[in-house]
Amino acid sequence: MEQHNVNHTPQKRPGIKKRGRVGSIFIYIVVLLAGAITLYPFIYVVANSFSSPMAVLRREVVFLPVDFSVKSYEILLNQKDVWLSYYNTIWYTVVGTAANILLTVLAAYPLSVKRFCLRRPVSMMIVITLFVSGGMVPSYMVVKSLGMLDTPWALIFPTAISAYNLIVTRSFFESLPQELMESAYLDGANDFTILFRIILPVSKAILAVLVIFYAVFHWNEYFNPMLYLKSRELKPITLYLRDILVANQQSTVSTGGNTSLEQKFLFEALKFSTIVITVLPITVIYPFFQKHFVQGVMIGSVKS
Amino acid sequence: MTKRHGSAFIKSLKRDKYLVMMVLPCIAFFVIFHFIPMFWNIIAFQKYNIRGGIFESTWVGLSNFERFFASPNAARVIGNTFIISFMDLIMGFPVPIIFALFLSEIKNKYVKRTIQTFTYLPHFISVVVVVGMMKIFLSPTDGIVNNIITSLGGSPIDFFSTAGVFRWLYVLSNIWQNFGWDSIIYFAAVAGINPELYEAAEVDGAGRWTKMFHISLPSISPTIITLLIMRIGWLLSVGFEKIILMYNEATYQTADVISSYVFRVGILNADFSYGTAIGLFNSLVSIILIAGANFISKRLSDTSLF
Repeated sequence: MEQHNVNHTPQKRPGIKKRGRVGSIFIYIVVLLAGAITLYPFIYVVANSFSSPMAVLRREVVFLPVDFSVKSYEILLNQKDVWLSYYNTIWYTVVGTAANILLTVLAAYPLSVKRFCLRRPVSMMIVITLFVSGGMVPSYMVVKSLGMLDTPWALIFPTAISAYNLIVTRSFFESLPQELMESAYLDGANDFTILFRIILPVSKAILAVLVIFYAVFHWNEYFNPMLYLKSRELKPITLYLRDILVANQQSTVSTGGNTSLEQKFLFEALKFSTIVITVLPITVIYPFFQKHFVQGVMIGSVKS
Repeated sequence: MTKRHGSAFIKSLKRDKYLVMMVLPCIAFFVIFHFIPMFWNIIAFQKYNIRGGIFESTWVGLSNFERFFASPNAARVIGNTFIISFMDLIMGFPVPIIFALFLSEIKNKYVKRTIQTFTYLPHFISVVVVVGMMKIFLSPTDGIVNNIITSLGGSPIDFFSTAGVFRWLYVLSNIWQNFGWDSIIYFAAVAGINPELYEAAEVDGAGRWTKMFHISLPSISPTIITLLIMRIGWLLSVGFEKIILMYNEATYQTADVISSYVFRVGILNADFSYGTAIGLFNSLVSIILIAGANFISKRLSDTSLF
């Protein structure tokens, strides 16, 4: 009944607005809290990495650096193993991502061409692999029988194409105006020209998505390296981090401390600077790709 | 008939020879790294030895499977796989939906974008770093969480050696790492709702919460249902990569899942046939779950995955 009599008189409005304001504040608090919870561990790590090792060991650092110091990074500079594994990670990321993008784009284009007679059977084959996998041991046996164990190629070839990314890319190519490709085809352009001269220049969005997805995958990968690599000089930074952070193996590092207490606290300090250099590149780069994420995720979900 | 069909096929392969060249590496990749491993699963029925290889090892029928089901580990790892997956689903699934609905209510686009940037970040961090940070925060001797507990008069808890808290650590850290990223799709769905619906509701005097529950939520429910079905289909592919970083002998009882067990026996102990058999069992259950989820979704909502 009341509803019928509501005309938007100035007296009525403050009530509604006030109720709305309480709701707004509640929503703001929840959302800001969610942001704070996700961010705090990173702040904690960065603050510790810039504190004196003694303050780190005493766990005095909560929010801001205590006794500002770059000691943690000085120790880091002397860790040969860190830089070797950091270099390895960069190598795996650059070579792996380049191979991923090339193979994904090369395969996605033919699979988006309607007249192509292998389109359906090959697409079918790829979709099957989304649902059925050979399993961990058989995959290991195949890599082993190819002689790739303990070589860098074990981190490049077995993950050369992600079926999911391939399907997303194919869908993107299918969504482009087909007249462009058809007229070029009728003009006698070959398919390589069409792909590299006509399609790729208008596919920056999907290329951005592929770069960030594949690169982050390689940068963070730890299971395949653990499975396939034995030599210390091939190991990526994630395995180094696993040794010092998760397994807490102080013996893997030489901090140069004189007493066992000093060694202990230098080791604790080192953990933080190593996390920072591992996380930093991603943190710096990914916001630039952020606007493409939605598109990437949406194309994928629509198709699957 | 078949001959003509065949020659047409070859003709079109010749016509599109460049397309064939482009797709060839892809075919080779999927055959070598996906289909040949599927074929390798036959060693589950063998007593595989490296010298004989796949063609000369002795066939042992189902004895590897029998060995698994006869061991006390079978019930434990199957049970843990289902419990951890269900906990992850029940607690992890609603969080991004709620977060997306709330975030959509924030009108200030700078605040919105900043919060998005922050909450997506953990998704891009290696699981090694996530587990490493958990170890630092939860350390029994000097972790910040135990410092708070002791300063409140409690006694410190060795979280990573307590079987009772393992699954909570696993699930809560998963939520922490993924709720922001998983909310993207819901957030985009809310943004795609026709604004006239909200305007009409406002004229009828609907407040914020009424609009959220009666317009936003029903409008994005097809997205929710599709993603739910996919999650159920993937139920058994628990994040064992994280589990094997987190668990230890003290927590096997609640933490050991099928795939972590496969890793230990099949790779670390090099018991290839036995590991393959357990992995094959895991794949079969997964396929049944995916097909089942797909069947139910077809019946209920006309959305199907394939």
